[in-house]
Amino acid sequence: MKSNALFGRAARVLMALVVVAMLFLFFSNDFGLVDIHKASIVVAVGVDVTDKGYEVTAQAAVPAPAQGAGKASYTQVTGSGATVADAVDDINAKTGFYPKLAFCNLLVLGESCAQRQLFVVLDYFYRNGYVPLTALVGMCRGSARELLGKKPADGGMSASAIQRAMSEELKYSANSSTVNLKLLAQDGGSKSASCYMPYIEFSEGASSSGGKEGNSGAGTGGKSGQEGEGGAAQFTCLKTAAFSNGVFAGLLNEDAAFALNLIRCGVRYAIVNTVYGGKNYTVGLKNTGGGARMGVKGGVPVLKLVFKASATLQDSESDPAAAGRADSHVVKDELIRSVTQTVKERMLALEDFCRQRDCDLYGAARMLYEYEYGCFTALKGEVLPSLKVEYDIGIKSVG
Amino acid sequence: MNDSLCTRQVCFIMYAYPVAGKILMMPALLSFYCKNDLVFPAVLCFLAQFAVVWAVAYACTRTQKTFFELIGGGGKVLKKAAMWLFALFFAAAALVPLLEQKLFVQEIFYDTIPSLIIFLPFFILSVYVGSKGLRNAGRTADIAAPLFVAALAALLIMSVGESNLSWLLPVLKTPVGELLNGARSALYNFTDGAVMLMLMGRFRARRGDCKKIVISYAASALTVCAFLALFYSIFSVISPDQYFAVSKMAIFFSALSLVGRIDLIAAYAMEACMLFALLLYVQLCVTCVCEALGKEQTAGRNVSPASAAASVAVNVLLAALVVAFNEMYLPVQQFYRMYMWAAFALFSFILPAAGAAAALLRGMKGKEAGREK
Repeated sequence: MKSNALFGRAARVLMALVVVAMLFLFFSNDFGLVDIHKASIVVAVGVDVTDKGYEVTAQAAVPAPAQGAGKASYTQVTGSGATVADAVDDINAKTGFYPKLAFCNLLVLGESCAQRQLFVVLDYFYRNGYVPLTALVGMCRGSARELLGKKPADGGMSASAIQRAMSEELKYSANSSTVNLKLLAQDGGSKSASCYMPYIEFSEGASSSGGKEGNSGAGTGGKSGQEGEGGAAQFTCLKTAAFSNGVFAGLLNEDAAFALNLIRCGVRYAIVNTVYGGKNYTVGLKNTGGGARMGVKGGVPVLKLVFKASATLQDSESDPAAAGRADSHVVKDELIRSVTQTVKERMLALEDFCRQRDCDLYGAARMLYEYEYGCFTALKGEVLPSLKVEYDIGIKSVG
Repeated sequence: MNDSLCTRQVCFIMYAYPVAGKILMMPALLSFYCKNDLVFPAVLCFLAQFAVVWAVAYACTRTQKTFFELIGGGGKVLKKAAMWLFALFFAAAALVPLLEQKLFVQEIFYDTIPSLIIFLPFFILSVYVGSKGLRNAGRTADIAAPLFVAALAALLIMSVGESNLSWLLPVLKTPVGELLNGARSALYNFTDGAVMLMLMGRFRARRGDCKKIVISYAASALTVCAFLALFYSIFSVISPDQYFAVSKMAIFFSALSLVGRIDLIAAYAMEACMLFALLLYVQLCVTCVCEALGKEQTAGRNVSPASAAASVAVNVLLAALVVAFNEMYLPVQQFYRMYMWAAFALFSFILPAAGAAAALLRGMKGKEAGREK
């Protein structure tokens, strides 16, 4: 019993010594973890393909100590290398900053990436366990470096403005085919082997700082690169880049992209402009329900594209609400038919694109594999050539 | 009869710890072998394991003896050999979860890859807890299990919105051979029969307790299967590469972009439970070693020197293996998948079933002897 008590006392002393040693290690150098002064939090990455490999542009927020107020709070650096990872390492070598990708929420692929296999270009981001699968992905006109170097109207980071142009809100209003790394890989790796991403375009308007667009008060939003740009850039993602088997298949125009968004993006509210009797009418579509149903009729796969919505008249060139009407929001039957026709034309534009480019953006092959496995195996995966597409568009006016 | 535990604690252990040990890497592993049919090999393993757990739990209501006391009739050599073999088995069973925990901690607690020293203080806790015996395992389960359930529920609620169950279709189109291969490869995650066998005779099983334990284990199996289905319906084709699903499944929850990674609070809570699930192997290993040496684990409230020495020895061995295989998780896992499945089949399925049968036979003999008298 005496030896046990002695043993217990010795164990307690030993435990205390171990705890003190661990605390010493912890407070002396934080176990050698990354120094905050040498870390840069990458919020967006742009990738361009060059003759020598890849050029990676990182837009990074650089943590600055409190006494460093007034210094740049974000920076943009470009590195090059044989692979994307090599180019990221080049950024590290050039700047001395350790690029942390855990907060990277945007990946922009330059137009040049269309030359390469999509998932080869993105390979680094799937392999790197620290890049979140929620990061938004888009392709841009021109180079990604140039796009990220543009200064948005609010004077802040271009990454934030681009993310707003690809936001969930725009996705749910059919104005952007927003996808993230996860959805892209899922679509690309599915039986359909086709995927899409928003196509980012920019236009330059008024000057950003102190201009008529105003400044949102991002006072610390100075930028080390790309100074001296003229007007403020406005970013839009109305078009969509499509890929089939990882190869760039082409660009969906605004109409086809709108139709794709109705089917794939769970749109909640959409605006459609239609011309009826030579006049423009803008109709809001709410309570929407869009989707695709796969079936087989006589051995032929049939894809039924469904879109249901309630319509309200938002704007009219011929019938101003100020004239004093009690039913100004009601959409007349003939106008409903015109809107339905407009939506159908957009869906037909999407179908044309899919058939001409052999790009299954509907996910028809995947649905056939899931719901009609026998038919899928009979067709040996060649679904699109034999696919029959039916439309069920039901738009009604709100009461 | 050694009343180390109460039935509630056994139920907690048989619910929370089997789940905690299977949701870290098994989802990615099974999705690699069986793709969208990943639930079925798990169901196969659980059915077999359920039968074993039920048999042992039933045997617990018929005898108050531990497994080692039961086989004592077969001779001292057999008893000692069984004790040492089970000690080795639990040490071996702890190795892969240890390496998984190390990688998991490094991934979720740190933004960069930290050095091994970050994880080694775990062994200080392990030495301490390992030496304390099974009474301590029951007490930790009392705290860890409710925490685990709350954290898992929070994570599942945050994850379910991103799921698309159509990814699980078409059902059972994976060749049977691949399903069986998946089940065999996942077998190293199934130690529940062996754990139940070790708990036999360490709690006073009353009428109805068998039902409680079996229901707890069935709930555990259902939870794991639901988790697997949810996992695949979120990640689908990229599932095989999604290690540590627990920390990744909830990141698509839209509120996280506003409030930050609050899902990590639940992940940390689950991590704590996973650590205690892992420590149970160490505790069982130390218990087996002490019984093989014929020493008590505790003297009054104090840990006996034999138990402390055994715990240090077991942990030094495990720490050495962790250091040796620091960068070799996949080769070790492959070794377990390819070769160690037989050991897990023997110790988690065959021996517990045999132990339960022996206990029941002895019980029947005892009854007959009583009638004859």
